[in-house]
Amino acid sequence: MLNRALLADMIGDSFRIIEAEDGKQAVAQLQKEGTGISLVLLDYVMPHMNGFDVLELMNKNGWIKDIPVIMVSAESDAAYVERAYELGVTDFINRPYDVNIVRRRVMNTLMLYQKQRTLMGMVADQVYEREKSNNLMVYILSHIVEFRNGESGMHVLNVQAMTEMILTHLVRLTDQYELTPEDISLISMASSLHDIGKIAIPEEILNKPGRFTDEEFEVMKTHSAVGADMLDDLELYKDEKLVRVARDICRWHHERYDGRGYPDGLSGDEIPISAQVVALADVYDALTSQRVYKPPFSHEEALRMIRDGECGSFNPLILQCLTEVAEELKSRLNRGVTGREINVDTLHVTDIAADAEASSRTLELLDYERMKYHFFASMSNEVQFEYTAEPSIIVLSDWGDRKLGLPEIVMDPYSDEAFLSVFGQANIDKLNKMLRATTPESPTVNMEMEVSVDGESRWLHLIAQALWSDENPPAYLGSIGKFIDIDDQQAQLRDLQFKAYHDPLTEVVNGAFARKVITERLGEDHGAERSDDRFVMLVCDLDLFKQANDNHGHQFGDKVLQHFADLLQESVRTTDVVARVGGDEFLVCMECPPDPRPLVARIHSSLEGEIDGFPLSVSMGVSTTDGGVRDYDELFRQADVALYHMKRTGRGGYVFYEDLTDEERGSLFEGGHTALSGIDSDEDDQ
Amino acid sequence: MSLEIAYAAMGGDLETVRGRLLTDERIEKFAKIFLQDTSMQTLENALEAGDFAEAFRGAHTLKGVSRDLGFTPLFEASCELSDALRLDDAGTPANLAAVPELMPKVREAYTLVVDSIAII
Repeated sequence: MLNRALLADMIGDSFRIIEAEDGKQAVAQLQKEGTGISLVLLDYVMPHMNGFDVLELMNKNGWIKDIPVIMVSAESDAAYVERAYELGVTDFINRPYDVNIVRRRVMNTLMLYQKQRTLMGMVADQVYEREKSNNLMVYILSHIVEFRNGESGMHVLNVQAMTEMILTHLVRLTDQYELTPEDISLISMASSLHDIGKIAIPEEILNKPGRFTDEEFEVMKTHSAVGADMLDDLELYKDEKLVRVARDICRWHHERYDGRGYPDGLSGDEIPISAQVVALADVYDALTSQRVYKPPFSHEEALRMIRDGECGSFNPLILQCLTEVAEELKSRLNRGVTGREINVDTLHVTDIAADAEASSRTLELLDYERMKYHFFASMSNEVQFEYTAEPSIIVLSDWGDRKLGLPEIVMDPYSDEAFLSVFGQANIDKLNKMLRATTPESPTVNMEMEVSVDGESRWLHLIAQALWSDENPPAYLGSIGKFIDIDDQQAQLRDLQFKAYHDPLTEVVNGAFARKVITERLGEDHGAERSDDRFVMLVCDLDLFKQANDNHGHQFGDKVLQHFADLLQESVRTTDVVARVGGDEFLVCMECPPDPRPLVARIHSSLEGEIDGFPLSVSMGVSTTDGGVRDYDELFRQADVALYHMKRTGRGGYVFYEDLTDEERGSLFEGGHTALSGIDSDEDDQ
Repeated sequence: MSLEIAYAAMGGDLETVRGRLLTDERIEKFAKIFLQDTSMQTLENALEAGDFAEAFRGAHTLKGVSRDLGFTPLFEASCELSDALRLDDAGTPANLAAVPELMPKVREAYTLVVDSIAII
């Protein structure tokens, strides 16, 4: 404590100083802040992990390259100093502390790293510019050939893009061909030169619209060997890798896997893999492009022709690659200007970014990403985490630690009491098992878990991704992911669903919901063994309800409706449907015994009575599924017609639709109104 | 003046410390912070519990801090003790037999330092 305070005091307040009590906390901070940390002052003697353990981890994670370390120590044993330098420390500060020395060493190291970063950035920028110029030169050169051929430069770009795609896929599929990312990039670039030999072909043959004669075809075929010779004859640079690869491609991109190509009749893997892939890309693009002698074929047709061997035979592995990148191919090729930019630039930008010696550009990008990540993490309603297996540390997003009541950094979460009491041992074990059972190809895990926050149980949805190393076999490094609190979500959803389906006044369901549920129940029975189930539907209307509103006010009216809704619900089973379908119109639908009449009579009588001196008189229309009607709308219409009849002939009772005569059933429509409007006008007469 | 008296009382080396830490304010500030340092307690507790790794860390910290602040007798006593407690690869202290003799010296020097700082 005093030790760190003294150092901090000496360095001064022009730096932001993060203190870590021990090795593990130091690692956690490094993980959290990354290159946001400009310098580490590291002691050797610490609890949990000592200074060398921290250094070893910084090496393993590649941090030591970007973050300088000054070792602070009272030790002066030569072996100890040697080991520290081996592990990549930049400098030593020996105890006892001397203010001037501490300040000097800190400033020197910071400046050294700053300079190094600037220089690295400059080199990276220059390499990038050079690469870009190279690409441009190759592109212009190949365009000249195509220009003479009366074609746009798209062919070359398409072949280049496709070569890169197939090769990239090929190395994922097999280690039979030893190709580094640099090799693939080089072959893709060299592929642009595959047709340079065409410059020596007479124009009348090159651009002949119809079929070649045998003689003409023989001349045309010379372009592959001629192209190779042109490169072999280069005075300078002919041993450059690019030139050698381009030469192979020029000479052999018309060879075929079965040995029936030209000029040398090579077969199988006698043909360099570069030429094999370019040959396929060349064929595919020729098929899908317009030529003077043919229209373009569709992507699908081209694939079919290639697979059926109509364009000669190809390496089955490459054909497999073609099949597997087919979708990507379709979307990436022939994209005009955008496609061109992708081909000229992106390859090499990624090459630089992938380089372990990160340039300042990459570091800035990383810092930017980190900032973005923290921002979104703090905005979102989710708990995000990063977990490293070695050492076992979990870092929760700022917001997350408050939400779960856990600290931001938890060491050894598998044996941390607070952590386990929130997540539960069983959940954590299960998650760990699931993550370790993933593969680098499909590293994602979804899990729902019940956790306990401040003694309250909550449901979280977890999406996590396991991080695997590039080694073979891959090692489990840890995981990243987020917890989404679905408790809130589900409560909200339930609330919304309730609102969507319920009448806010009486809290019985509304017409829309009743229709949905009843339709389902009626439909359920089709073809099932319960097909003899019978349903009865009651449409109920409060007589004289308008008077309640007019004479006692709307509040009283509402009270009557609520009371009526309660009565209805009490008089049926909870599984039966009670819904408010209009102003004072309610619907009941339930399964019923063979004779529904006693049931209907009971319900009707239980509804009659009075509330605060206001007489409750109820008219009901009844329909049943007995007639074979199993359609909601028809059942409702029948019950509504019966209700209308009831209202016309005297209130306070019920009528079954099946008891009405045809005339009574039809009379409803004489006035040209619907049942409901009929009732309304009826009440107006009161 | 009181800083000089305190250092004289404990047999500390104020001049060298001034050369390294530059200002009396800083020396005084950290001398007082030393009173809250828990390394001595850590050392005592760990020895009591037989946790020699922890005891070594306590002695080691005491040694480093007393050296930084020029508490010479405490530095010398804790230096000897931490050497005796230093663990080999097998995890056993280098010279456990010497500890009963060295520990009282550390206590004595520590008490002297604490008492001396109290007069600043």
